[in-house]
Amino acid sequence: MNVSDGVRPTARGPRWSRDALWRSAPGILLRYPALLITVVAGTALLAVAAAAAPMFLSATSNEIVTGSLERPHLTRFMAGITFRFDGLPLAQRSFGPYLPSPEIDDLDAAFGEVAAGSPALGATLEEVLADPVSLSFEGTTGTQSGRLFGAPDAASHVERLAGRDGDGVWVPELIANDLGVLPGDTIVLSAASRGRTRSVEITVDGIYADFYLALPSDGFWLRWEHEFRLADPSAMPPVPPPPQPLLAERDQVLALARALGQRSATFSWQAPVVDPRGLSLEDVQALDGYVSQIRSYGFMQSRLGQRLQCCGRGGTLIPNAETSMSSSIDAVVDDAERRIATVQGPAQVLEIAAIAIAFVVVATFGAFSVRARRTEAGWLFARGTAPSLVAVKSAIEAFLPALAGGVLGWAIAFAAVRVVGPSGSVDGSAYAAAGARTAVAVVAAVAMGSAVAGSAYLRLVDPHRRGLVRIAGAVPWELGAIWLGYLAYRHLESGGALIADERLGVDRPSLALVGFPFLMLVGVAFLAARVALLAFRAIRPWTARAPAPVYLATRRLAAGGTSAVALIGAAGLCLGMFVHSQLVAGSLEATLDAKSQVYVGSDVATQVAYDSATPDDVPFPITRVVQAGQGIRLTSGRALDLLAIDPTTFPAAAYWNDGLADPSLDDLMHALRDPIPGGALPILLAEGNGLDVRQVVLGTETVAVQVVARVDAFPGLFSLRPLVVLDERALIERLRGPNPLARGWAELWARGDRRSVLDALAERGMPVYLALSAAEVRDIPAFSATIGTFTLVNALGTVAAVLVLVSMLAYVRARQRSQFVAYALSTRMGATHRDHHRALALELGSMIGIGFAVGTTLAVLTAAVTIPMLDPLPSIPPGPLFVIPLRAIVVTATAVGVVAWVGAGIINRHARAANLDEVMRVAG
Amino acid sequence: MLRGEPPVALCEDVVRIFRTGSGQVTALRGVTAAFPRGAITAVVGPSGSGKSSLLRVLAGMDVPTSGSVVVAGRSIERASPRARRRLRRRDLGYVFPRPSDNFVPHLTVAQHVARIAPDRDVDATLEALGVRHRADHLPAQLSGGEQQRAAFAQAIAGGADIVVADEPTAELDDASERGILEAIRAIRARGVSFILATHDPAVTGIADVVVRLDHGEVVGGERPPVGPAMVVDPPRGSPRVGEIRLRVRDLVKTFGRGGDIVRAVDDVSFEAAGGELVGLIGRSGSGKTTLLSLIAGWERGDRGTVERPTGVLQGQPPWWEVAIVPQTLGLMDELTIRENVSSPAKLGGSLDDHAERIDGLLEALGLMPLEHRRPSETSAGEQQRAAVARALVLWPAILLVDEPTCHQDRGWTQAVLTAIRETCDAGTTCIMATHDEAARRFLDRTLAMHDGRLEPRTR
Repeated sequence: MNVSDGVRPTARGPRWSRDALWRSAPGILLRYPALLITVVAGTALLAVAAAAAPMFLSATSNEIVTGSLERPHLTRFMAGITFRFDGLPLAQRSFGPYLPSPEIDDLDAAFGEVAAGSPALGATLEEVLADPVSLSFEGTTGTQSGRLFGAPDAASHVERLAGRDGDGVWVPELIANDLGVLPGDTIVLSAASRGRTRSVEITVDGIYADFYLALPSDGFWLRWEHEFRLADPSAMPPVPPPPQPLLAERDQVLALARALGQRSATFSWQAPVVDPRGLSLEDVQALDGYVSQIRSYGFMQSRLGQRLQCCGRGGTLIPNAETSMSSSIDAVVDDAERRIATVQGPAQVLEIAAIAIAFVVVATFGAFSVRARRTEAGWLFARGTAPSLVAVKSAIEAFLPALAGGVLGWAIAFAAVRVVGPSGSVDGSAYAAAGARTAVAVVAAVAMGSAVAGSAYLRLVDPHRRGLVRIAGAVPWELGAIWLGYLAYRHLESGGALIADERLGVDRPSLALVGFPFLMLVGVAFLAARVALLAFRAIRPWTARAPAPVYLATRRLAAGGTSAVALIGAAGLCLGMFVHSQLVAGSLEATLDAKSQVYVGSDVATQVAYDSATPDDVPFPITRVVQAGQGIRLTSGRALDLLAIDPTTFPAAAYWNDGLADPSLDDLMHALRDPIPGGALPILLAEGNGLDVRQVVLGTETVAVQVVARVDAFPGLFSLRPLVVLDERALIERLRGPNPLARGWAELWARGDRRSVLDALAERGMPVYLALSAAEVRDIPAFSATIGTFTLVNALGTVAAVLVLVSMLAYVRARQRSQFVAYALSTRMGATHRDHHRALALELGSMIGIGFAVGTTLAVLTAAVTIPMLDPLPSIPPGPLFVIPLRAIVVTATAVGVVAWVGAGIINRHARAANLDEVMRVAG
Repeated sequence: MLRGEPPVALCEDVVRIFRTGSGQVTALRGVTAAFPRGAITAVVGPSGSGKSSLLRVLAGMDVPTSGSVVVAGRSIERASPRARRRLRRRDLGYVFPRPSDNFVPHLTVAQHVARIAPDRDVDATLEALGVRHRADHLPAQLSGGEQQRAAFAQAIAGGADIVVADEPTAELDDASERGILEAIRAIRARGVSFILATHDPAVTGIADVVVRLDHGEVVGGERPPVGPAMVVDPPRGSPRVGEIRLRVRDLVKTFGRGGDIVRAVDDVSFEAAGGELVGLIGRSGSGKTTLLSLIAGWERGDRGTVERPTGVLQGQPPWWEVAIVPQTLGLMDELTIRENVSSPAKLGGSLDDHAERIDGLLEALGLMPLEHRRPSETSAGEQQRAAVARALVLWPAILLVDEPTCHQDRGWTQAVLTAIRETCDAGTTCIMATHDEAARRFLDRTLAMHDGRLEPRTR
């Protein structure tokens, strides 16, 4: 605009558009970097808190779904839909004028329509299982019978030992060994029907590994488990395995069965779910709904239902036939929902906590935005500007930075969930929910910040209001938070840390579990900040002769007002929550780890035949033990558990924790091995406080024993009965009669993951009947949820702590900036730049350090109260372990020091770089 | 002013008590005063006497703890915050003592005025105050006098009947002051009432009514200005003007303002001896502050040198060598008044050596009763005296002082100047930018600046 022509153009448009103050508002924060950072960071935290929960819950639920679908007893095959038709005629038969003979092709098509009804279902597997046949080779009839089983590419779901695909059949090792056949041989299948035996010849394409003891892990055979798996391998007298499948394509099986005169067979149509890793909870919930629908009476009445059942309504009309529609998807959904239910409550508390912290930061922005522009506030006040207009102006100023913060927060939440969160996929709806919540968060942040700005404006410029605020500020609201925290503690004490959800039949972590430490931290941290401020004021006279850095730092701290208290309190809260969550998650993990390994004995326990030797060439520590709980007692009749071990291999392979016993494990093993004068068998006794054990009765044998050590717990402690631990070899040497332990099973305990242990044993031809891993025992939904929850707290606490530290630096920097003249003058008075750096570091370090010390102390105290309430498996020792995360505390303390020193350096550098030209002039 | 017309503002037994971090301060103790309509009323009194507090109450920016205040027919203590805002927006203009406080830094002068009176002729308003040529400049580009005139333009732009101004000429040179006073008289002629807190006799001189305050109470009659023991003549016991302590040679400093290059200091050379108190006078914008800034070493000249007997002054000289009282004062608000005054000794490691000096200065400048207060809990005049005391503590070799008495009443002006004079008599060379007539009697000589140059006769 040029005034030289003497005529100023008349502004047009609405009044606000002619007002430069309003026009410049959207971009004004670019002039105030500290404010800009505060509003972006505050909104970002708010958005993180708001957006993380839906994404976290979605990823968690999807991870749970994936995990469920990968469980050996579920798999994608069991989770899908299976339609089974027992007794379906193989030949065209007439059942009367109203019931035409069933057409298999029509059934294929009908099930295809069913499978197409859900996108979660994959391609249909059309299978048939014929009746048993006997087998012979070169005139020799085998002792084993078999059943023709037809399915597309069935041989790909077994372990092939020899042979290749062709037009023949794959036979199990059991039959191949029995008949002595090899791939390429021709065997004869025979079946009797209506008093007549028919035979067909068929070539053996290949031989596959038996699975009558343990089914292949891919789940394909789970639907046929009852037909092929040996129900009780240890049954006495031994029971032969059921007829094992002879694998071929379905059409071939149908042809062979018809040739053998078989009249009917069991047909199955499986539609397994598609790749489990791509399925979300929403997908499986939809599938569950669909399954419920097609299993309903209404569906069976429908045209498609009738086609599947060959005209029957609610069941087939074909004589001696039976149909069933099955799916285990409900178990998957139920499992996922139960687990999610345990996470949701604490996640919501966390969300509230994070939002509360974020609002504190946003409110701080509101106050800063006015304080940093004191002149403007005074000018507006003198011109009669209403606080509501100042608030609106602040909202306009903050909107774009808040929007940027919201986007940044959403991105951080996304990255956090993807990087440190569960591995499950995140649903599109979760992204949308996160986006919507982010938008609400941004609007809320702007509204909150502007409201505080309006209030701060009044406090700053209106002496009358300032007095009222001072009175309000003197009210110790922190005591209210502490009281609420105490109520939460009482709630925990009376109701326990886990609340039973009767509908879902699951224990949820109580909201008070997070609420108690949070409220206590809020109250105590902010109260401590007030006390610290009073303490700084009290020590002020004592530092009058202290070196310049201490002198300046104590005075700045003593002069700190509401902002300083808020920042110290917020630092205490965030760092305290961080340490607390580390403590609880770490302790729970350690406890669960200890309990699960005590229960299992090691990482993996496998049940093997008693006479199995310990393989000595496996690439992991392994030991052999024998557990016995039946027939072991004292002479008084009191029942005992017995654990017979090999002391030489036990220490390397078994779980051990020094908390389980006073003597070391090596000492205990030596004690078991070392002979005792008099010939008594040395034993260890666990859970046998005060019990006098001199003799142990094993079946019909009584063995003299001597307790060489008592332990609190021992790996393999599987009940609350006293456990006797002894050297198996030493026991056998003392037995006069048959070894009573030989009637049972042995176990191999190994270090490593379940899969690699089982693979290694399978490679060595060791049949494994049962396997249990510590990870499976540890997988208790309520506790994995609690650990997950506190891990999330950890992440949020870290983000919040970083934000508080940034705010603290911004606060100190803004103050230094406003006092640059005093800073410049003081350097001439003798305060060196190093003095200033040290003073700032002391000030920052004191603020963060007080927050850290208070937060950490309180975190340890509150965790010490709550952790004993969190006993994941009360029947298994040890009790809850209290693991102080010393490393995290030391790292955090170091980080605090580094932040203080480096932050002070940065602020000092900025102060030094101030425009000294302005020192002598009146600043704007 | 019409005889018999009701006053534009009336105070009755007004009390205002502030509660601060260091205790309770009673700023007004039962003030009763009338402010006639269409008149210029000067509220005078020593710094800390409650002038600013009274003005804030009259401007509806504060509410009395007790008593009654009626402004433009409205009761301030009974009015809602909304009603008080309306008063400030429509009927009353307020001018802050520090010129820069009257502006939002990123708005131009015209934008300020247009914001207050969007439907009025901005140029005409600025023309009336003589700052039309600065309409499109930012506040930082204006001199103090121009800023203050623009502030008055804002005050009257909205058609206010009352203008309340706190120390409107405190930081202005004589010429700027004259301009402001002429403007005030001109505006008063249009029926606008003025209530002006001031120490400035020139302002008091144009006042129709004078209300005198002391310790928060109205004092009547022609009572002499309050303050410390009056020092009628400067102490001239043992002037020790000696060898040259400061030599400024061919100093030049230019900087850009808008698209123009301004020679703020143009080839300035002079010398000053130990014990000499040299006044630096000139209009606002004549280059005084820039020259002090160059001597202090805050700014680097384009050309020329500043020399001491020990050599050319470079970098940041220590406080004992060059002490400063800037217009911004630069007090640390986290320190008390005593601690601020002591800070050169404390930070320089000589607190014990200067304990007596510190006490003496606190006593002489009337700061002892305030020694435990923080600067923000004291008046502008008290803060200014603290800044002067801080500069004098170490008996510096060179003392650079920028308008050290602009917020002082006559009594405290004497005290401040006496303290400076006594320090000079002990050997300090002092260059003091001032437009205060009262200071002239204390000066050994003056250097007059005009458009960045020293007038030849004053070198």
